[in-house]
Amino acid sequence: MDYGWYLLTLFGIYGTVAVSLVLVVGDLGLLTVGQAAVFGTGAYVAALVQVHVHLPFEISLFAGACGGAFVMLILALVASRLSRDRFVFATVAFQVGFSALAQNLTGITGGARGLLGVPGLSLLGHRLEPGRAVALAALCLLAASLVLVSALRRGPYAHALHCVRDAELFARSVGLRPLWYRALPMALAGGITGAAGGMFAGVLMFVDPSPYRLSESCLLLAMVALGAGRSLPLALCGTVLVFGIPETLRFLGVPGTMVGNVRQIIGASILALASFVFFHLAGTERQRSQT
Amino acid sequence: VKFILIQLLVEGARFSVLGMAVALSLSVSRHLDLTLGVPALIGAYLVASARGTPDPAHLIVAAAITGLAGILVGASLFRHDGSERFSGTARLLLSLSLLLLFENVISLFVGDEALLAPDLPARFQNGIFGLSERRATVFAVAAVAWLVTAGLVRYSSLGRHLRAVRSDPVLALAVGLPVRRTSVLAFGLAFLLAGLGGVLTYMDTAITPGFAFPYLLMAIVAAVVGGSSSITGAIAGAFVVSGLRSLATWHLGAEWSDSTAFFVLVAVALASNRHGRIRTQVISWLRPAWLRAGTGTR
Repeated sequence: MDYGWYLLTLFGIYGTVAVSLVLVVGDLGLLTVGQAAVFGTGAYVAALVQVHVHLPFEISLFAGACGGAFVMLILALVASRLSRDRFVFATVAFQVGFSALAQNLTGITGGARGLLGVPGLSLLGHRLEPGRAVALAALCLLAASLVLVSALRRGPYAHALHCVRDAELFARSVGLRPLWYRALPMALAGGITGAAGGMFAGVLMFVDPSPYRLSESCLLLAMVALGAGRSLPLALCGTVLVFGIPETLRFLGVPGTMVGNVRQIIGASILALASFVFFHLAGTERQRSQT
Repeated sequence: VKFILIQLLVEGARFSVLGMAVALSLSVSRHLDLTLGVPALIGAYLVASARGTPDPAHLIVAAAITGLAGILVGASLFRHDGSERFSGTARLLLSLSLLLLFENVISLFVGDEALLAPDLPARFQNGIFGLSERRATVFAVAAVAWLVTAGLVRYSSLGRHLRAVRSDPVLALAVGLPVRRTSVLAFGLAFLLAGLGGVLTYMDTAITPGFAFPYLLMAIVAAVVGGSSSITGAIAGAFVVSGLRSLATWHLGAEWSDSTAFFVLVAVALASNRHGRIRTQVISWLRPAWLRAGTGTR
């Protein structure tokens, strides 16, 4: 039963990251392979605030969100200077840099052994017991992020965003500034991912570099690729596929090392299929309409 | 210092082989992709599966298989008029997923333990110019690859077509050049070089299923630093990247070498325009005034 609650907690946290990625990949049209680093930034900032400054969990969650938002704002600045292909490589570089920092700044991050002694989740001074309470907290975070992102994806602001995504030159000609229109959604996505990272650190009660590597970034991207990065329900289905199916394999007696490989294979297959079916078709459709 | 210089020389040679492959693929395609990591993996694990000292026959078999795979991939990427079938985003995602898929399938069936080629039979007591025979062989094979590839691009009809396609694919098609065949053959050659790069990596260092991705990223940095689609530029870029990594290892520690190379990638990407050329302001800032005056550059 406890394991079921733990799986639900993971769904809440990774679902939150998927929702924020929909904003970046779907609405801004920016493919990022550095989302695990933003997730990790939130986790490390929240853990450091709790361990070294001894602030309560709520404030550490806010600090993690601010850390994620700050990182994504920098990426928004980089995106304004690069073509979309090159932006992907900039995010890869950012991801590799983050991993190197997390691994090697042993005095701050604890290096490969990680940062131990992170207090668990609490609310207004009351500790949330692992299990149902923590799972509910993760699902609340997911619901809040869904509300925020859905609100941003409606109305004239969303139309302006899509205009910047699909026809940047036209957007400039009608007075829309791409950097401004990218900065807010990127900061919001970073904040949501950072908050999810902060919660992840609280759930595990320690932070180490392994969940924030490049391969994890690819898995996060695979979660949203199922809906071509644009559909929130399909992003949540992708989360279940990428993280749910491999976890159920543990019940069937598959060794833990193989489960990691299976998870990566499922993620890569979804990414391959989705890139072929959705992104290829979407690109061809756009080329046709431009012609 | 001697160790770092040797490291620079051999590592630069390894990076340059895959860097040339990246430059070749960028000559005929507008999009960077990560599929080239797959032939590197295949080449390395094909030779590793022979479980003996790598010999020329292993190299030829690995190069032939990866070259053939490259021709097949190239044929699926280009339409009959030589235009690309996939958009940049789809291509990046597809190549990334293929690389991940191969890495994990190899990890699942072969295991994650590091594999290192057995030592070559010692013919020279003190190595060759201070290099061990294994590393001297890596450098020599890479040097042959430079000469053959640069010669092919400079003097053969394939090379002339390649330069024409790189310069203006529409014009090349209009004057009747075989644009698709050139692109497919360039991809075959790029895959062959990538397979060779994988074998050289297996001969030089221990490999695990995850080795191809960082190796490919270093090669991309080398190709981008060298001007994206120039063979000699990729070779020079590989040595620049390797030199920076060696300097980082010397002053900061080996753990910072990868991040230093990626810092260079971001700096070059930010200093270059949307066509991949370094901005003219940066070039004029880097070049001294007397040189600018000599070449008539404003």
